[in-house]
Amino acid sequence: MRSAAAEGPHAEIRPVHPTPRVVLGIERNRNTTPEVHAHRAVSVTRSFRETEGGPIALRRAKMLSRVLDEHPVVIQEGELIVGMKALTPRGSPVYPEINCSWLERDLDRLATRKDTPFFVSDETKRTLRLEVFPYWKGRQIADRIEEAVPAEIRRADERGVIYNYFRSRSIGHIQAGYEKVLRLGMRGILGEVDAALARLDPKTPDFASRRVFLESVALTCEAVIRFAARHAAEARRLARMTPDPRRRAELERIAAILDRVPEHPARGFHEALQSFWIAHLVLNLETPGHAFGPGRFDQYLYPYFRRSLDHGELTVDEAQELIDCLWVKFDEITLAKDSGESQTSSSYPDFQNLNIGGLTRTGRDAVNELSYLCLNALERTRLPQPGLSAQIASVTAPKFLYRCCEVLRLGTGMPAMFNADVLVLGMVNRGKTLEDARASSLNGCVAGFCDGKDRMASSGYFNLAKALELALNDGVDRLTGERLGPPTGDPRGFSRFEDVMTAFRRQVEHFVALKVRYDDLVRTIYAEHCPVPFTSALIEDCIAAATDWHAGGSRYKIATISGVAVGTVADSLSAVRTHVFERESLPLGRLIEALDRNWEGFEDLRLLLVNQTPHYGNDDEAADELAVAVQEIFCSAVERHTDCQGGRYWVDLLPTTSHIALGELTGATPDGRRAGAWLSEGVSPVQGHDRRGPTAAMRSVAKLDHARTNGTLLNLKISPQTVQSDRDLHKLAALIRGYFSQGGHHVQFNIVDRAVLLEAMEHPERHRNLLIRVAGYSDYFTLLSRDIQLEILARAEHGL
Amino acid sequence: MDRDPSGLVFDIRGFSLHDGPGIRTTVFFKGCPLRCLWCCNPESQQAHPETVWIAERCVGCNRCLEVCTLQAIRPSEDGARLIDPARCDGCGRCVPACPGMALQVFGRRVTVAEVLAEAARDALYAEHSGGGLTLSGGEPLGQPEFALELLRRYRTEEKGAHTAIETSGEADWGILETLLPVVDLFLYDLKHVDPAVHRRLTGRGNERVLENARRLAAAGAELVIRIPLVDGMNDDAPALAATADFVASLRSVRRVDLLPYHRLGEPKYRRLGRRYALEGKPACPPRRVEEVCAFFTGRGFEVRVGG
Repeated sequence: MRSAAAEGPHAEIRPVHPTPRVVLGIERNRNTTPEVHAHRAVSVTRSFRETEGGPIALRRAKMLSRVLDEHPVVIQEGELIVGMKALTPRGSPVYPEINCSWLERDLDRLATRKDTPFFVSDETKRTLRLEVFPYWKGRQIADRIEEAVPAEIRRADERGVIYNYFRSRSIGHIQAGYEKVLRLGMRGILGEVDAALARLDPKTPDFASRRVFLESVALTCEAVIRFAARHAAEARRLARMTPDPRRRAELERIAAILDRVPEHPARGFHEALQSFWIAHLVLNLETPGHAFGPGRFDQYLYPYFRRSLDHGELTVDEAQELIDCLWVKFDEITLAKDSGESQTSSSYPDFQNLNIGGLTRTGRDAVNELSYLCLNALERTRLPQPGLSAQIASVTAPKFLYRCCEVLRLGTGMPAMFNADVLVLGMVNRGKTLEDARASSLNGCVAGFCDGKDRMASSGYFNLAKALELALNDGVDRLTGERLGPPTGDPRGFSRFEDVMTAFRRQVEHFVALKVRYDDLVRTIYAEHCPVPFTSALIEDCIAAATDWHAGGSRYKIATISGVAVGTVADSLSAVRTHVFERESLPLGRLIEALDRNWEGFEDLRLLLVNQTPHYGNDDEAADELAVAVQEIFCSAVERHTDCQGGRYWVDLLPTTSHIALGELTGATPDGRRAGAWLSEGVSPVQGHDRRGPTAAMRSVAKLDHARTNGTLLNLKISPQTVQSDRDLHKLAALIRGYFSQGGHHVQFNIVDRAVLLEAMEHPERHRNLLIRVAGYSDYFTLLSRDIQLEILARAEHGL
Repeated sequence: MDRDPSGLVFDIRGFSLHDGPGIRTTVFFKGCPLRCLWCCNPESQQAHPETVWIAERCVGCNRCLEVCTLQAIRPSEDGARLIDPARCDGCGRCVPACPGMALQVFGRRVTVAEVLAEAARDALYAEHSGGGLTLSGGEPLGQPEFALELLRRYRTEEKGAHTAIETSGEADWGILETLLPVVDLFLYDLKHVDPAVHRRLTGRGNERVLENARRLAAAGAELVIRIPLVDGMNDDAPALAATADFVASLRSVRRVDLLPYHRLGEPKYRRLGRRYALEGKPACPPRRVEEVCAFFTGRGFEVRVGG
């Protein structure tokens, strides 16, 4: 692949308004009520009924084939890239084979729930209740997990110490090899399957199951070809019907493209985009996994873009419109999640993290014209999806960073800014080759992945604040009085600060071990009951090793646990150390009493702890070293584990929005936080505790060892006045460079006036297009629940 | 001379964006010879530490009374805490004792080494942005040895980093002259060119201010003129014209910064137990800012609002 960075002028489209068809798509997405559709669930259920008794890989392949064969094909007005996940934009299919109990329970409440409501028609309800739900009792993955999980683990989950999100969604975090789809097409992949089949030694004991797996892969690839053909036919049908000759030509062209891809290798840009989109859709229809990441989009699409431009098939303006159209398609994708899940990951956007910039496999600046066109697409469409992530390396040209800052200034919270150098360092540390590390991307919120070769099963959250609560309460849940953790001693008997740390460490170690058992149980169930042949087709080395992705077939495998509330715990420990052990002005017994009473009658003490304690986020070594210690305790507890498929465990420090849900299950903490209140998010300081400006906050956060994590998340809020002029943008760029040169992994900005946010809470109807960065994604502010709106308001605003 | 002289400052702020180029550390010197009616930093004026009590934050716990060995804090009948400036030595013991952060001491002595350590924290950000160190105030020229040593050592340690000074210009020329070699940029205030009006608005005449500006320009210093735009006080047509004429006469000056009047300093006067001369005066209207901006632009200057 050519590195375009050094070659000639970049495509400099000054963002203007998107074309009418794109505007139409944006409006269509925005004005369509998110809805649940039953068609996928019906196909899946019928297929499974018919294949009972067969090998599971084959059953799953037949299931996906049937889903694709019966999927209603809808081509919407003006579309240039076609194919929909459901009947309507932002419609959600149902995945009963994973978990439909939640839907059965919530079906009548789904349209009115607080977070991410979905409309469900009476007909859909009837179909689901009659045809779908009854079959899956005891068969769905969730039931199998439910049966297997011991009471101890379930309790730790219910009380908010640990959280595993594979119960309602499959393992996900899929960074598929789209590059391979474009380069080989389904036919090429089928060739790989044939080669692997030919190599299979019939004498190996698991020969039969491997052969079945490979045949299943082939079956799904064939189904994808038919799926594209059905779209081509629909495009032709519409072409015949339309009176508009221009639209007729477009539809005919779409049909011709779908005749070719994804069956065969893509030749030009339009073919490549359509091929990508079909593969992306099918992955989304195979499982309800977390986070299907487009990955290094500007890299693997670049050769096709270049070819089309060089051959004069396409102008830059046309390329821009195609990308804008694809943005609208990304924005159509959503998933109805159970209410617990929709609290910890509260959003319609579904973590489609699209990366631009970064490094080439040989370590050069990878920015090319497409990187800029993607930024333009965000600026032109202002859509929450795809999540746009810009990788900035020390070799990245300043011009690209400035352009990112310019787009950031629009206030959509995107692109999220990532440090490619630290990403590479961490990936190499986690066993990737240097070349693969450079070709890696961010998936989900902020987690590092090697495109098309990885399995990073981030399995859910670990509530560090709850572990501290247990350490300061002898292992007993302060909210319920129930014993959850090991007895680590009555804190009133702690004579040294180290005793607190020791108790904390023991609680962390206990629950990490529990979490690993939990994950392994779940992983084994997915391996046995949920093969994913099509996903496996797009991830090395599943075909070569004839092993399903869910069974550990990928070249690289790691497991991660997301630590939540580093800031809350650091500030809490700082309060204990400062007031109990250093100033000796607060007996620990009195603090415990205050926590037990949730500060009732202790408001002076609460304020004193809030206001007169060194806090993480102010470049104050006294507090920061505690945050570092918390990371060290968590990392060393996690890194000693390996999962049942040989993947080593690593830490990441991202909360999505779980810091709100887990906060509700956490009692009062010594940092002055009340029971049930939010925890700090990501590696960000406690909301409002960073009082010395963004550079001080960044210096604190950079003291953590980011390369040792698989991702950290830092939110900063900047007032728009701070970045008005181009000179100011230069300073914003320097802020990012400064943080990255200190070793920070990620930072995202919300550049919106506080007054505007307050206005939007008051009058949501006036601010329907106000995008805001929530966690590792952006969403419309007015669609967020009130809790999250308040939380965003509380994040300290920096500026002058 | 003291190898590590100290000075009285009331704040050291990282991530300063509008006190010179790039991301800067700004040191706010305490003590000012002027008493501008609109001053939004009244805590910068007195050249000694001042303790203030912030009513809204007080929880009435009386811890401050207990820790103050000088008995400089006493409760009033209506629950306020009165601070006796004659007794208070600004030791600051009451500050960490207060749960609500209701007590604050403006002014602390810091050594050059301490300030440099603080500035070094943001050095990477300064490097990436072409930023540096700015001395502001109060009036930095009021503590000339400290200012000089600070800038000199900063230049030595942070090689090539940018230095700036924000000044009223109300000082002996000798002081400015010694600073010339260590200051890259002078952000030079000009409140009014008429000496009598200047005296009425700031408490002092402007003879030295104007003369020092001329000398700095003649000496080839990089100079930006900063004009507090206080509508109704220094923005009448003749005043603006005279100001523009004066700035033009400096020849080397290309840039004028307009600092529109705002009232954010008002609550601080109350806390310091002082009366604010412009109480209730609304912020300078944006339209007026645009007009004045257009005026100076029309006179050929590069104009920035807010610096």
